[in-house]
This record gives sequence, C-alpha cells and structure tokens, in this order.
Amino acid sequence: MMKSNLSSSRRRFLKAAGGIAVALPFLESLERRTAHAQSAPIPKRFVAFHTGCGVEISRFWPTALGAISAATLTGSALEPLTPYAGQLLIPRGLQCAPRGFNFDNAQNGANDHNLGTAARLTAAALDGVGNQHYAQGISVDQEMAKSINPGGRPALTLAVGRSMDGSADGYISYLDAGKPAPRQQNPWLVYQDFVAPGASPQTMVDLVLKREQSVLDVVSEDFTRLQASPRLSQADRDKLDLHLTSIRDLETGMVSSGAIACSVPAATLTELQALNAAKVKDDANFPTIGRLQMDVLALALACGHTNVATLMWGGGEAGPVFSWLGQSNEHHLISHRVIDYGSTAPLGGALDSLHAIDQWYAGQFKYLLDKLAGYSEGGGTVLSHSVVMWCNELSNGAVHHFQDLPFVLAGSAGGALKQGQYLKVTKNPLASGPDEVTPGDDAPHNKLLTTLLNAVGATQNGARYSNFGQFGSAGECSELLA
Amino acid sequence: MLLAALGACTGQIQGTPGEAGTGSAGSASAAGGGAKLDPGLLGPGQTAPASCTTPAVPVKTTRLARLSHKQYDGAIQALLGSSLTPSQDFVPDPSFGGFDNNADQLAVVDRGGRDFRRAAEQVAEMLVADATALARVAPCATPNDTSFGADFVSTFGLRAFRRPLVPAELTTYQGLYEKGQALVDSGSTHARGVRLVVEAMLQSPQFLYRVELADTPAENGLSRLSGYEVATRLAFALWNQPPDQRLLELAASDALSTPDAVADEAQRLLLDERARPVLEDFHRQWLGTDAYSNIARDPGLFPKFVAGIGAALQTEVQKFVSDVTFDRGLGISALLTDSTSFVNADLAAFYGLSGNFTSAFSKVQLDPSERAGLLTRIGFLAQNAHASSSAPILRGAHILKGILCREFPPPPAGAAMTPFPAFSDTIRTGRDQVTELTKSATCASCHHTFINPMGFAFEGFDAVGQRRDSDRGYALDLSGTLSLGSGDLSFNGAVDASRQIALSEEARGCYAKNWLRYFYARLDADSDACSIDLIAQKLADPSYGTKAALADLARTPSFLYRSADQP
Repeated sequence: MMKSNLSSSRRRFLKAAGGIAVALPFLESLERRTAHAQSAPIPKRFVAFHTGCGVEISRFWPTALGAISAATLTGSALEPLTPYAGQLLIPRGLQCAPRGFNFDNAQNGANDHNLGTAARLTAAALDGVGNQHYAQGISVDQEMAKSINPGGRPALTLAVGRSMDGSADGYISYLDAGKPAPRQQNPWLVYQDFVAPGASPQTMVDLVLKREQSVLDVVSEDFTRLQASPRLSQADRDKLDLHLTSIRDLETGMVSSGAIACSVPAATLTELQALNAAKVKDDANFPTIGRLQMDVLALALACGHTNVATLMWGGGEAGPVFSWLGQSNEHHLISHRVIDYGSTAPLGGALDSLHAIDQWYAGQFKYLLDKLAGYSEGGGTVLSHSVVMWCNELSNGAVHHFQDLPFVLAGSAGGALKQGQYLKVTKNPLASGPDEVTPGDDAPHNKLLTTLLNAVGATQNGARYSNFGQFGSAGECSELLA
Repeated sequence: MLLAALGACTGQIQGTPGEAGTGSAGSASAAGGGAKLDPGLLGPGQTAPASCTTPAVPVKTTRLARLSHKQYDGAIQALLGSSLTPSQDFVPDPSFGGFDNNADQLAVVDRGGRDFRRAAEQVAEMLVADATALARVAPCATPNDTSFGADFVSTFGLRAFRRPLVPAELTTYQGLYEKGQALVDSGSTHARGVRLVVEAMLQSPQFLYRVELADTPAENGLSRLSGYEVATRLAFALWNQPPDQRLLELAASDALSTPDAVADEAQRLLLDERARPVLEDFHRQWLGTDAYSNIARDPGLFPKFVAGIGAALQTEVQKFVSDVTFDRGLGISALLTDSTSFVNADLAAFYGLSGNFTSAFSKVQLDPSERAGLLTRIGFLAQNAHASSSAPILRGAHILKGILCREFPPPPAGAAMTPFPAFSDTIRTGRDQVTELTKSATCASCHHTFINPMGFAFEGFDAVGQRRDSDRGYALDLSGTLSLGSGDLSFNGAVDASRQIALSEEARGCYAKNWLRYFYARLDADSDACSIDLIAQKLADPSYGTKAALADLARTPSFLYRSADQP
C-alpha cells in the first residue's frame, strides 16, 4: 500500500460516521505559509537537469582545468553558458555505480540507460529485470525535500517528451525504494497546482475554503457509507484508502507564500492555456514544453511552493528527433554513431550532430539559469541561493561508459560551493585520447550527492550527511566547497 | 523508441490468461455454482466449443471500477450537456494488458484527488453560469428559494450515481443544497445550491466509481448484478457514457434480468453514433497508432514522408476501422483484407493514387493486389521499420503478438544493437541479413520458425511503407511458412499473408480476447475461454462483425453475474 508522502503530523483520519468534520489540510497550510512569508530565512534550492544518451566527450568540457572563462569555453558544448562562467562549478572524473562496483550488467539483461538513470540521483542498489531495474533507495532530491521543503512535501518532478513504455529508465527521482516519482509532463497542470487563477482577496479565499470544507464533508460521508459495506475486498478497501489519502493531501491552490507574485507573464499564461494536453509529449513540441516547464519550475522555486525540483529531458534512452536542429535520426542512434539499429554503417557527421545536441541542451540550461537569476531575493537572486546540476546517465554514450560522468553545477547554494572553477575530483590524470574516459575509481559520484545535501542545508535528525546512497564512499567532494 | 517493440516485454508477460482480477479464475466447483451455456450465444448450426461444457463461474472482480478518463468526460457530457473534456487535465492512465481502462488498475492517487476536485469545481461553476443549461439540468420555477432542491437532488442524483439515492444520501445532499446561500457568493439561491451539489456529487466515490454491491442469489448458484449495475456496465462499455433514460427505466423495472434483454439493449446502443468513438478507441489502443505521431524519417531519403504525416496516418486507421466495424458492421476479417481507405493529399501521394485530393480525407479503394487491410497500410509498416530500412523482425513480432496473440520471450539484452552482417555475395538483401543475424540456435528457435517468415512477407514495402519490387536491385522473396496451433500458414506476399491470417482461428481468438479485455475492463481469465472460443468461431462468418461480437459479450455470465463466494 502506498505510503503518504506527508509527514504523519499533517494527516488527519476520518472518524466513524457521526458528522465529525474532517480537519482542513488547506487552512493549516495557509497559516504556515503566511508565517513563512513574514519571517523565514531564504531557503536554499536544488535543481537536477537530466539529459540522456551521454555526450560528445571530446568537446563537452572546458578546454583547461582551473578558472572557467570565455576562452576555455570556446568550442565546447558549454559555450552557450559563457555569461555564467563565473558561476559554474564543474567536477571532473566522477564515476557511478553500478558499473565499476561489481554490478553484473549481464545479470537479468540489464539496460545501461536504465541502470544509469536509476542510480544517478540515488547511488542506490538496483533490482529488477531487463530494462525495469528500480533503485532501492530514495533519491537525493526527495531526501532534501524531507527537511528543506515546506511541510516536507515531495520535490517537484517534471519531464519533457516521451519515455519508453514499460521501461524504468524514464525515472531519476525516487520517493523511496522501488518507488519512482511520477513524471509530470504538462506544465499547465503543474502551474495550476500552486497558482490561484487571478488575484484573490482574503475574504474570497476564506469563502472558498469554507465551501470546499462543506463539500468535502459531504463527500467524506459517501466514503464512510461505502467503507461500511461488508462486501468490499481488502483490495477495494485499499483503493478507497488511497483515494482518501489523495483527497486529504490536497495542497495549496489558493495562495502563494513568497514575496514574489506567483504568476507567469500574460503571454506565457496564454501559451500554457493553449497547450494540447494530448500532444505534450510529441517530439515536435519538445522545445516548447521544455521552455514552459522551466518557466513553471523557476516560478515554483521563487514562490516557495518547493525548494527542490528535477527536470528530466526525454527518458534515458528515449529521446526526440532533434528536427529543429535539422536532424532526422534519433538521439540514441546518433549517440551510437550508427545509421540504424543493427547497422554497422557509420552515421555521417554523428559526432557533430551529438555536439550540436549537447550545445542545444547547454542553451536550455542557460535559459533555466536566466529564469532563476531573474528573481531577486534578499540581496541576491534565486540562482545565487541555489545549486543547479546538469547530469547524464552516461558519459560516452557509444560504449555506455559510467566513468567520467558529465556534471555541471551552477550557483553557489548561498555561498556553500566554489564558483567559476573546473576541477578534477580524482587523483587520476585526465584522459587524453578523443574517446577516452578519465578513470575515477577514487571519485564515486555519491560523494557529490552528499556534498549537495549539505550545501543546501538538508539534515537528517538535525545532523549533516556523511555518506548518501548505497554505493561509493563516505565524505564530500571537499574540492568543491567554498 | 524503436526498441520498445523489442524490449517492452522484459520477462513480464502481461495478461497471461489466468492472471486476472483480484483472485484466481473460477471453475465449476460445488461451492461456486455456475452458469450453463446460454443457447442464445450459439450461432445457427454452431456446436459449442469444448471450453463451454463446464458451467461458467465469473472471475472475481473489483466492486469499485473507477471511470476511465473517457468515461469521466462522457459522464460530464451526458449529465450536463457540456462539451467539456476535463480529463485532458488529468494524469494519463497507464495501459495494462494493452488498454487504459483496466478497472483493477485504475485508482485515485497522488494528484488524482486534486484533479477531480478542480474539474468538479470548474464544471459546476460553468453549469450555473449558463442559464440554458441550468434550466435544463435543474429546472426550477422559484429560483429565489430552496423549494426545488429536493427534486433536483433526487433527479440529478439518480443520473449522477446511476441509481436512486437512499434516504441518508437525499438528506445529506439536501443539507448541502441549503447551504448555497451562505457558501456561494453569486447567483440565485437555487443556482448556488445546485453548484454545491454538483461539486460534491462529481467528487463522490458513487460517481467516480461504478459501484457494484448487489449480490442477489440466482438459480445457477451465482450472484446477480442489479439492473442498475448492468445498465451502467452496458452504457459505459458501449458508449463511455452513463445509462440513458431508457436504460434507467429498464433497470427500474428490473427488465435487464435476462441475457436476451441485455443483448437487445446492446444492439440498440451499438446502432447509436455514441458507439462509434468507442470502436475507434479500442482499435487505436490495440493497434498502437498513437506512436505514429513520432515516426521521423530523413526527408532527403523519403521526401514524401512529410512532417506531420503521422497524424494523417492515425486518421486513416481511425476512419478505416470506423467504416468497417461501425458503418458496415464487419469484423476482423475485413479489417485485415479490405482495400478501402481514407486519404488526404499527402497520403494519396504515398499510395500512388491519381486524382484531386486536398487536406480533407476522402474514401478511396486501394489496389487490392498491393494493399489489403491494416497490415499493408503505411502507418503499420513505417512504425515497424528502421530509419532507412524495413524491419521484418519488428513487423513479424507485432503481427504475432498483437494480431495473433502469440507469446514469446523478449530478445536478450543488447540484441537490438547487434550489427547486421555485412552485405556480400551470399548476403544480398535485407532478408538475407536478418536470416544470417538470427541463425544461432538460441535465436533461430523463434526467429527462423515464425518471427522472420511472418515479417519477410512484408518485404515488398520499404522503410516508409512504399511498395518496392526489389531490394538493393535483387529480386524479393516474399514467401514463407509458419505453424500456428490451428494449422500451417503458407503465403507469398503481404496480401496473401493478410488473407490467411484473417482466416486463422488465432487471429479471431486474439481479436475476441482483446475485445473482452476492453469491454470487461480487466484481463481475460481461464473462465473466459468459452466466451472467447464461441465468439472466435462466429467471427469466421464475415457477416458476424465486431458489433455482433460486442452484443454477445454483453450476454455472458461474466457480464451479468458475480461468483457467489466473492467478498
């Protein structure tokens, strides 16, 4: 049975029939939010921005270690991020479980993309069959959300474009072992979750809340009557419990909490309202949906709806055809540099096409940073109080490498992290050949996740983190700390 | 995406008969009773299949079947006369066993409660803002007082909950109606009350689920569903809408208690236009045509495969199945062999048709020597192809799994990325390559015996479904044989293969089985074998079409009874 995502103190249980009112989750959250707006310190935020199928590794990184500059970014996939050179932090040499940690890829026919996406934010053991391997632990974003999100609510999990049916590689965020968070694909629906339609004076808000309570009371009576039937099976009772939990986990809808007015510009609102819900995952809409998801994500962070969010582009192996870049082959085929499945015929210009895709994603990453930097707060911006992480399930997609993974961080998380630096976090020398990866046996990526948890001020039982995940090593990547 | 067809089954074979519902399949046991074969199900001169000799005990099913998204929209339309489709703002429901309406799987979780609440509020607000709609749905001579509340609650409640409300419900909802003045800030007193009642009823489990609590003991030892429950099942199955006035009246007078009566009503519903989108929706899901939107091809190689043609390919299939099954009352045989199509200018160019075509679709006859039914249409062929070549393995696998319901294990990990052998003196065509690639003992046991031969029949079509007479300049070999349980298929080319597939017992049984899943909103179970076998046999008669099969599905014990020992 699904566990509630909320801490138990926020749940209320329906008493037996007798007309006892159900407590209002929304009034409670309204009070909490008003108090938050008046006196709370500015929270730190974390965003994971995930792309798939690896990168063109010979041109991905800045051209020299050390301080990042326009010169070192020229010609690299990251060139579009030049305006943010002074705010990037790029750790080089991290590697990931399961490859390299005695996980047998051939066991249960595991799919590398699936292994990569499932492990990327969890550093957890994986279990399953074929391309349905699920992480057996919580992901870093959801772990952060427990202590730094309002009411401990789960992190926002957005996705752009399609993923493969019946495959687990479309998930990077895990609420718990074996429990991936759903992909929210429609920015209009996400937006409506935390923005009231139009400004609402307080009297109006109070009336709506009273109305919703009365309606909910009546609906709850129908549930009680139904639950009283002796004829329901346990499975049917569980179904009703899940439904009731879903109703009582009702969040927001009415009032924003932060100092920032919670709405997008009118032109964006028009675009959101005009979306065809049946087509949000179509390849042709990939850039538009991606942009709108970033608009909504940035707003959610600025508004205090959530402090943690993930944005997954595509679904691991599944990705669009980048027709807007003049391409007509699937990203996955391009990453393997073949013209077709089963073919050895090389795809002409594959490396250039891959590099073009990487640069396009860098442009999207820049768009997100622009949005976050556009919200001023407390002498800084949402970006300066955040750490935004671009990651991938693979490094060299042609051979499915898990060593030398691309990680690009932006934002110092309120001064916790170094800025403007590209540095090795492994003692091994940088790889020199065009298709070579830098070995990182001393740099498991779980250390980066531990570092990030502490950087945003997440705690467990009040204490900092020392060793997140189930694979890797204890400690942080101290090279990254300010 | 291309790997989905190969890799989607990863050791979990969904929908194995026998795994279904909330319990194991029933068989004739002393405790459970069972329904003897209803003679009304037999066609003229038909002998009952062996699976029909044991009395039928329905598999245990959920008593709370959440409305699918289409049914939710259909209910809003029927109740309020509105053309809103609120479900497009809901998280899409996952497919199970091929269909998104599986009652065991549909639940309200995560943001579901929020979605239903928002939809209910929007629908209720729009209703009372529309004076015409309000007058029709909630007629009231004295809108400034609450005297029409009781009438509204009981009338609207009957339609919303698909049964008369019990006294406790009438009292509760009347109480809510009377709070309208205090809780809503605009509109007449009556309108305010109506708005609250509609908002609540549309969030009630009695609206959102088909609730089936009746358990009247029947002579055959099973439990009978109530008339309202049967009416509700029938209307949602055939129209994705709640029962209409006539069905509610029949339910009230308990006139839906015999298979004949139910089948008669089924036939009435099937003649109505409201059944058309349901027939289209089944085929959309069964054939997987949603994926056509994302087929992309290099315009340098395939200039006629223009951007957006995927949508046209979906429309072609939709109009074809609608014409065959709804307008002409035909079935699986025609779907696989008929050469009728519906094309716009882009598709006409593809099919090599001459004439004046526009962006609108018109009905045409394709060349029957080249194109027969669904398996020779561009959508199916291009979806099951690679970026620049045909894909006999994908085509063969799709037909065997989807059309013939043959189960076989998924390919080993990494199989899809294994390079094809290079062309040589002995490996000259795509067929040669695939044969060579799959010649090892592990592969050949499936590939050489059935997957490849099926796919090779379609090698007369390239990567975008265009006809071709050679492959790399070499002559095509489109012949093959494979064994089905019922006998061997031996064919030459796509049209011939389609015709023989259409004649096979397996194709008829597979069609019947898939329809049973969709119609009953659950996986098939062992106890469904009789119904599936009977309908499969009848589908051999070309004049017994899909509509007739659905009328039969509405009269089986599974549709009208529950097992007596079900909780």
